Amino acid sequence: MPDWDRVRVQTAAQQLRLASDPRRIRQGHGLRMGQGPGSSLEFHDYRQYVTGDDLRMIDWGVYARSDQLVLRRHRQEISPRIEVILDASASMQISEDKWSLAAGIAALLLELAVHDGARPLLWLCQDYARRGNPQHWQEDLHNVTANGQHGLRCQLSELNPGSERFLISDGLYPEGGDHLLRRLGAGSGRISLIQILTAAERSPSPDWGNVRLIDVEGGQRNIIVDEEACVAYRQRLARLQAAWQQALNGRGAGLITCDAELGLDGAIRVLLRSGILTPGAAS
Amino acid sequence: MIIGNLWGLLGLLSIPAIIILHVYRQRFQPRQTSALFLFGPEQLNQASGRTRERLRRTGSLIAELLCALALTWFLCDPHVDDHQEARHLICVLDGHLRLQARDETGRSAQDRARQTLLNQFDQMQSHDRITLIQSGQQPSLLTASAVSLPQAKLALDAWTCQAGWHPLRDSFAMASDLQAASEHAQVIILSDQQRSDIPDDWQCLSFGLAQRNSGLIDVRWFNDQDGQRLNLRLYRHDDRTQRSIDIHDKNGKHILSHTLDQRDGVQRHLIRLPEQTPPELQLQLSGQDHLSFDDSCTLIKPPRQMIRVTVSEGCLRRTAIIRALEATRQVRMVDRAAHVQITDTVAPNKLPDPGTWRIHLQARQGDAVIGPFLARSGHPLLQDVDFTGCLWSGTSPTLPVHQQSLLQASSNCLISEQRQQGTILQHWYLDLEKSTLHRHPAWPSLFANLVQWRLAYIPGLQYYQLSSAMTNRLVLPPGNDSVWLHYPNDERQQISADLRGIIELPRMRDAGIYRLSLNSDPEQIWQEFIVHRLHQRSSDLSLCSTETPPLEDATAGKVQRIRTRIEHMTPLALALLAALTAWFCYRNEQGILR
Repeated sequence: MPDWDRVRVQTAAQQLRLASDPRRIRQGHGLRMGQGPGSSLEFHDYRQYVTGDDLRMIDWGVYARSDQLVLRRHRQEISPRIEVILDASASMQISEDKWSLAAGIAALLLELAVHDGARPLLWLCQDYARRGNPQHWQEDLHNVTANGQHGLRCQLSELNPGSERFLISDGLYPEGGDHLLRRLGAGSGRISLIQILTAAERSPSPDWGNVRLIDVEGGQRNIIVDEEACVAYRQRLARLQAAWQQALNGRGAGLITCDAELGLDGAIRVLLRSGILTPGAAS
Repeated sequence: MIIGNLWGLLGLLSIPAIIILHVYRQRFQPRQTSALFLFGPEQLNQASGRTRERLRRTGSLIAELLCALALTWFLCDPHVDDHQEARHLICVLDGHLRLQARDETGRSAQDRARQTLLNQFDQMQSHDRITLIQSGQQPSLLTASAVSLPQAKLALDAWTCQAGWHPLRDSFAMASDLQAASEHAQVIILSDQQRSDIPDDWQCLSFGLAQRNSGLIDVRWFNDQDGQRLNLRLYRHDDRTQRSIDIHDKNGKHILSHTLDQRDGVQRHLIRLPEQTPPELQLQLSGQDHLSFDDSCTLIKPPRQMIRVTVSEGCLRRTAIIRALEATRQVRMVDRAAHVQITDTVAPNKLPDPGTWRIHLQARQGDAVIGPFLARSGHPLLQDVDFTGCLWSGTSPTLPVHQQSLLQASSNCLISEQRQQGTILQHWYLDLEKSTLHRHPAWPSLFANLVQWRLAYIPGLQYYQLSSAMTNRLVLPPGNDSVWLHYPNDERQQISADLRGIIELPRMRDAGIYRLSLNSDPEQIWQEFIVHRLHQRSSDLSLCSTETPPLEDATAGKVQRIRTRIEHMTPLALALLAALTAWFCYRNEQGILR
């Protein structure tokens, strides 16, 4: 069971907010002000009157002053859907820090979504995808164990179209991001991958020497890890990350990499820099 | 500290070997990863040959070194309080019953010998070694070879003088072998007589006394045509007292007494027993002397041994045949179930009944011949039979198939024999009308040999009373191939017979009544025999003497150290524990590292 800093999450949720997605499908009435014109009471802008427009929207004060017929437009009210897809494969629990950070980030995003008036939804991907209870996502998050073999490869057939999706994973899949995003990103609004890596995953140490590497998700091999091997590893990792970035390009914040050792505070700084989070409380 | 086995130090060579193995051991430390695919396959290429790695002080290395040290300890046997060289005393203890002879003070020769030996032990060093050999029909070691003084003192209590007469050469041979295997071992003999047949470097301590004694040396119970009698042999030495043999039944009821002569030496007495004699008798020599075991004896009544003979009606010279058989006084003429059947009418090759031998008389067309004849050497039928001047007619010119010729005259066969299925079929090619055999001295000899020969194959024992130095012979009834022997101490053993149904019983070490049964049930006794330890040499105390010269100082020699059980097991247990620890550590090192 992941152990994240609940107090820190609560505190951060008071100080931060999710950056809104200008491409979210308008769901009608909601608690958030959209970027476009709508039917809220908040003034948005003026528009020249065109035959057929609603006469009740004409600003008669402007007409009295300027003899010009203009329409008064108000801001839209939106009700966004936030889906947090947490990778609960075995690789996520290769270290306690990594799994705790993943759960902490998921909890933070879900908490911010609640504060924002969005409808959060938690997906847990172990050997199969399980949708968490929207009202009891904290309990679901607390009870999950990272022991799956499939992770993000699971079939998620009930994703909400137009939702903003956050993938929390280490992204270490040989098939690459493009293949996975075809399923995970289908019909989504914004989608981002928050990649959590340990120091050993970012760069193995040439001091390892002769090791028998045992993949937590299956497979093992005897390998000599020296400087040359580390360089080759980092190159392959960079290519993998580049593939993810390319697949996510234009669909949201893209690939955001967090160091597991830096904890939740470090991850928040990275998420702020990436634009997923913005300072300030939710309106 | 003494190293018991210097060669064991070679075990220390394993230590550098273990260190080298650990230095050059190619270890692949297990490590978990979440992205094995990011480590490309080219990382499998390793440098050819093994490379040297820094020696790590791992648990498996330390445990393996400890295991090597423990095994080296076991192999080289270091010890502190023992000696590599010590005096080794080999004692041959005479086990004859004769050593129970008591002197005026009531002490036996064995008691005096035991005390002398214990005194000798007290004068020896604590690290000296002792080996005790007890003589007997089969000499035995009372202790292991070269034990410590405390162990020898304990084992000396097990020394018993219960054996009948036996030669001491087997015990001497055992002592000689032990002396040859041990440097500078000293051999002493403890007996009641001085020995002249020992090597010069051995010493003999004798504790006997040449005393007067009378004792039974052999007793036999016989059945003959006149009834039952005891054939008694007695030895008297310097004993002029009036003594007699008292015979009782097993309940103590007196049957008769027989007065003995007072002359020295071996006496023979023939005692007639009354008709209604019980099956078990106790003989007791009246009076007291220094040796009591030879003053009494138990006897078992032997069965009367007779053979049953059938001579067919109408057999030529039947009367002469019967007269010759009955002259042996061990034949009973019967109509059936005979041991021997003499006939001239049954078909020649028809087999007799099981357990019946047949003599078939038939005349053939061969030449008439006059003795002497050519006899098969050693055959019991023809033992000491002289056919000189005997006219033999009716011989067989040819020897029939499957038969062996026993008596031959040129090419003519006179007597042939056929053995089949445990029985004997003899053919006497004899025309009694034309022969003079029935009037020749060979005629009764022939039948006497036949009777004695057949008696030897009657089911039963050869001896019903015998000494512990004698073997015995047992013939099983037809249809039985094994017998159960029940010892006096209630042990039992199954013994199988040979193809003839005969068992040669070995010498019995213990005196007492032995019982034989044809099945494992000890209640269904078939035969009994009794073993006693009587012997002239066991009763003759005239050669006993007391000579206890001081023991020569013997030089110390190398002795084989005998480790106690704890000394044996401790290093082995430590080695095993260290080996297990090394294994577990190795497995742990090969386990998952995070």
